[in-house]
Amino acid sequence: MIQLVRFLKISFLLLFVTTVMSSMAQSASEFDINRIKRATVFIYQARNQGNNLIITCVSTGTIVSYDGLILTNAHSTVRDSICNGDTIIVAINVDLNEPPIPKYRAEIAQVDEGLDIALLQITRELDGRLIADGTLPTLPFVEIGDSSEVTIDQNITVVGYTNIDNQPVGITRGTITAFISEPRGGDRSWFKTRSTIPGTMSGGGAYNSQGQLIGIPTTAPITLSNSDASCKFIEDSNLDGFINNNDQCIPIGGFISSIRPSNFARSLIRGASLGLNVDILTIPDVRPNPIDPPKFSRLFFSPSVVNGLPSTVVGSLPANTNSLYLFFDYENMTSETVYELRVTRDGVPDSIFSLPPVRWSGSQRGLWYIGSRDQPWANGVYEFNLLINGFAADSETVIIGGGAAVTPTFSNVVFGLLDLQGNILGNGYVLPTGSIASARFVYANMIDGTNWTSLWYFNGQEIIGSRTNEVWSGGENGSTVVNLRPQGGLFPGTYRLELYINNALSATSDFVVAGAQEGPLPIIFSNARYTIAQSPFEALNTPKVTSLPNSVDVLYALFDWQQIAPGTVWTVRWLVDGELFFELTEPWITTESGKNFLLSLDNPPDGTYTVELLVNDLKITEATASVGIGQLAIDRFAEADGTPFGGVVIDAATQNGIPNVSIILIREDFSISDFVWDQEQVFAIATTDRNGNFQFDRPLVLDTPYSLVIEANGYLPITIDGFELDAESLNPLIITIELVHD
Amino acid sequence: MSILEVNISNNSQLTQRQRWSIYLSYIVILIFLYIGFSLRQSSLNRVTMYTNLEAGITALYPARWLLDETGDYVLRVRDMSNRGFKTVIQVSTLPVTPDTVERNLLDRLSLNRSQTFIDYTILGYSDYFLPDETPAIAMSYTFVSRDASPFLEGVSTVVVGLDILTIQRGQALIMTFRADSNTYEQTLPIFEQFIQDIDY
Amino acid sequence: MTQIFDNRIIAPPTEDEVYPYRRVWRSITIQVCIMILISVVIMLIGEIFGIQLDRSINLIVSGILIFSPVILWLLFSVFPESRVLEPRKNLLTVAIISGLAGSAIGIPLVEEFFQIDRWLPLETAMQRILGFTFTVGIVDCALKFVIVRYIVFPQNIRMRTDTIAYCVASSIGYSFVANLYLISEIQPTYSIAMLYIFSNYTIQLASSMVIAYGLSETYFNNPIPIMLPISIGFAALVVGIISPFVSGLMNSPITTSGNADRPIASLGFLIAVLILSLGLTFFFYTVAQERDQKIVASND
Repeated sequence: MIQLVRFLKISFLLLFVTTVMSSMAQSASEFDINRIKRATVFIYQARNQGNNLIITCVSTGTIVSYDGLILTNAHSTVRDSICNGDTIIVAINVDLNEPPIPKYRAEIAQVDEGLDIALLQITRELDGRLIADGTLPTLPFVEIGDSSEVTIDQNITVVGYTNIDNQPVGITRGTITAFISEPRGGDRSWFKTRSTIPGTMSGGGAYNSQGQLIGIPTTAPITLSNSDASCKFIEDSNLDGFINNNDQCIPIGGFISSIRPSNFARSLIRGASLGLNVDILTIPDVRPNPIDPPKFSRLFFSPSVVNGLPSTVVGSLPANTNSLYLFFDYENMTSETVYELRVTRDGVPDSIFSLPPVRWSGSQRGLWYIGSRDQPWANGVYEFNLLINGFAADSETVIIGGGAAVTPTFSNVVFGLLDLQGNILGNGYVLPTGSIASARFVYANMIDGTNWTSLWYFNGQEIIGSRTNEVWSGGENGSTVVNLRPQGGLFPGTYRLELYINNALSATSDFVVAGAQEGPLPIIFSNARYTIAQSPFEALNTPKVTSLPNSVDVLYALFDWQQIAPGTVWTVRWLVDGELFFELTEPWITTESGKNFLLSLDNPPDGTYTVELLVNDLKITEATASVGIGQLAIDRFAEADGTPFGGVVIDAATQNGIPNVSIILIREDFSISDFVWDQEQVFAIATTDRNGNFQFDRPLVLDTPYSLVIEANGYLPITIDGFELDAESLNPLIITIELVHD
Repeated sequence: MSILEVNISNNSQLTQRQRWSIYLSYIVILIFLYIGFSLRQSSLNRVTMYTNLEAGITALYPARWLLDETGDYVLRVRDMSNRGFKTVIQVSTLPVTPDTVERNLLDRLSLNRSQTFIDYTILGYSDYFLPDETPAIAMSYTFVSRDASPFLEGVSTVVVGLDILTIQRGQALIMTFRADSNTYEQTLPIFEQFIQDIDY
Repeated sequence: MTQIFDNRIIAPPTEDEVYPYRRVWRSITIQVCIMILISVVIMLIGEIFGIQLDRSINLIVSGILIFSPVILWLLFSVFPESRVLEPRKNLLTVAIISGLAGSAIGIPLVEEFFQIDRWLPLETAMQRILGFTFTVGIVDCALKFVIVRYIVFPQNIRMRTDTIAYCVASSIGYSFVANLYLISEIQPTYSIAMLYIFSNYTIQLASSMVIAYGLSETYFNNPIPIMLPISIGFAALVVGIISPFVSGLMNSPITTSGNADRPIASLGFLIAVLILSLGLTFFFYTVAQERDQKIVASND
């Protein structure tokens, strides 16, 4: 009996200990939501009206670096017709239970209006005073996670401001329900979620279970036809003494279901945090906007995408389809254009595959797609409706269900130059100028005697004489080649091939012709190099460099080009130490051929710089140079990990807080006896506020023995060596320090 | 216990020894007071030597003030034990040309500071002579200082500053002193001693 | 009426010998015991049980506690003087003048001239002892010595314990003013106020004991002239030793959990010092008095 009682006691004890340990482990693995809340800011865009600042737009933002870099949306911060303010105010979470308090002004450091991502840099105090370099206190910031690791049904936490009322920063939880594919971002151009994310959370952060930012909730800017949107009248913007419809309302936006993956922001963050400004000197800053209105046309479906192009064209798909893309041509689009995809299945709106109104991230004209893969599509009749700026643009229907149809198909069109053995040579989608272009495609289930047609286009216009109407005699399955030999040869530009079976589009693909021929590959860009000079003019004649021992004021990149037709989409990318910090994709707008296309990079820090030139997403050439030691310096402040340390210093006699007491944390390399009052030995300094509260702006690293010194006139000093936190320590660490009068 | 009583009528008379005891006591008190004063002076005036060969500056600054060479100055020392604005002594240099005069440099300092200091106000200029009789210009000013952390309730402090600027050997040397306006006069002698001891 | 007369010659009734002076040691002992009791009780209430008072009430309570040494001294030292045959004169005068001197000279000298707040807390332990000795210690002891010397010495000194009585009066006056200044400046909680009051009481009393012994030896024993200065210096040293220990014991080291002051440790130290200083002084006085009696007896 005694032994039974003893056994029961031991069992209960073990159970208790296990429960406690598992709850501790659970709490240790939950991320620090308070740190994320502190890093979440509220952004006002405002305009000056006399002595007043009138709020024009609001959004949420997230601090992503200790020196005040804020990630948010572009539509609520970049000045445009709706958000017409010129001042950006940043409100900080001082008390997590209270609304944020305006503290700083910011400027746009980097922006991609198409992706609707903007990076703001805090530059001034609220009163407009410049913040001197190095004097901005280290702000709490979040870690950017890898959005490519996000999975369907993954839990996310969205942090932001739910409204512009008295509410503090809020959170909402949900899951990822779908990925939306587009050419700009591939399979993960958007995350979809069913979370209820209010419009003012746009620009905030979506976090994974480790507390890493994996997406930016994004809603479209308000337009007149955006019926879900709301616009609040909260201030007398026209200063007539009344708040009514005559005043400017603040657009709030509808509920958000789309999240821009955080990987899109990485290059912008890198460029902004390193202070890298790229200027393209050869072409003007202001690109002409299209005159005609934007439009979509030629909608069709494809079950897969190859190099951004449809593999084939389908009108229906069998049951258990898990991949579907809507392709369409677009024209006259700009980064301010708002587009939307509404999908219905059997007449019922399907929120999973719909794309709510968002900004256009493509170029002015071309072929686009929206779709998804590895996600099941239920059987039904799907109608895809495209809208531009809230108005219906075009629509198309596809049927999913039934068994796999055995229908003749053409697919997988690739382009190149034919060799003597009949092989297609080249990179598949960029051909040099010449006299002939060949396209190989795969055919399946063909029946001899079937009518089929091939048709070629050049820059959107049918090439006269290129249409071939033929009767199939090539067998049931295999691949074959069609050739284009236009009169006058292949001119630089964008070409298209359409293949029809019985007058129904079965396959289509585009390719670009540019550059001189060197074997099957085009030479479009050449002589890519770096140089340094006192001026852009001087850079044109300075010999190239591959290594610079010291830092430079301006680094110039140059290259020659040949036979690129205006309108050909090209891309320039700039990387430092292998990480992208600048990317520009746009139609070519200068001469077809030329020398010394010039780009400049201001104040590059030490690192290895690579500029890459692409056409049609295929890398044509690159150039590399190293500056200084050839590697970026390690920024010790850039680590978000660690334990925040704060507390209160009180007078032991009065129990009241003592203001303006400095607490000095000495680096782990030095003890109190080694401390000679040199800033080099100091890890961080915190000073108490009027209530005696203090907060170190650098988190403490675990298992690191710091030393602590507190000295204040009239009080006995406190010193300690071995001030060390471990995994069991509180996080954040908040302590009370009592100082004794002498 | 029996009572030992002294005849009161003889109390007013002290023996010579007793008188000497009292006189010696006064002397000892004075000696002690002097020792106390010396201890105070030696503690408050304790200094640390600073040498910067590159800038050619040797200085003595108050001990236990935090030395900082990481900014755009040659040296900066702050009294971290001061509750309130941390009293600052700073030495910086600026490049000059043959046409540059002190007033140009002071104007430049002021224009830059007006961008970043709260309520920066120049109080006035005056002539100043360094210990080696070198002429210099002194500029006094005030501004408001506040702990920059946005998460704490820092209260602003009015600070009085003094710049002593002299142009020598092709560069301008600026010695700056900033202290809480309430303790400025009390702590100014520290700066004056610093100027006495600096060698450049 | 019949009267009966007893014709035997009988000795007259023996008269009880009446001690004509207030017994100083008894008074001091009672005062010290009550002060210790009050301090312990207040500290228990404030620090152990953690009873906190509202700010204004705290100030009132602290203000009342400042008077506790004075009230005890009046009750057990001053008022009993009126009930003895040979009362000591000028006790109140010494106390009041000491207080005034402390207020006018002592505190300003320490706070404004020596400015110990600015440098003393940052020194090493030995430097702090020396610093307190040569600043606070010598100022306090010098003022008390001068006041006793010029008001009551030697005209009011009839016996050795007179020096004790007058030096205690001086210490009460001086510590009262010091406590007033400290409490009004810092405005501590009532329990810490009690600690400060007891601390000043102890420091002043202990140093006054030494000064009193020096004065009594100088007057009754006529020793070498250096005796009195040494006793004053030693009294200053007593102040220099006690003061840093009180604050040092209260200051606790910091850990990753923070720190909390240890007023109980300081209180314990002060109680021990007070008892030790009283005991030692009583011992030396007793030895001195016995020596005096032997001299008188041998002269007889």
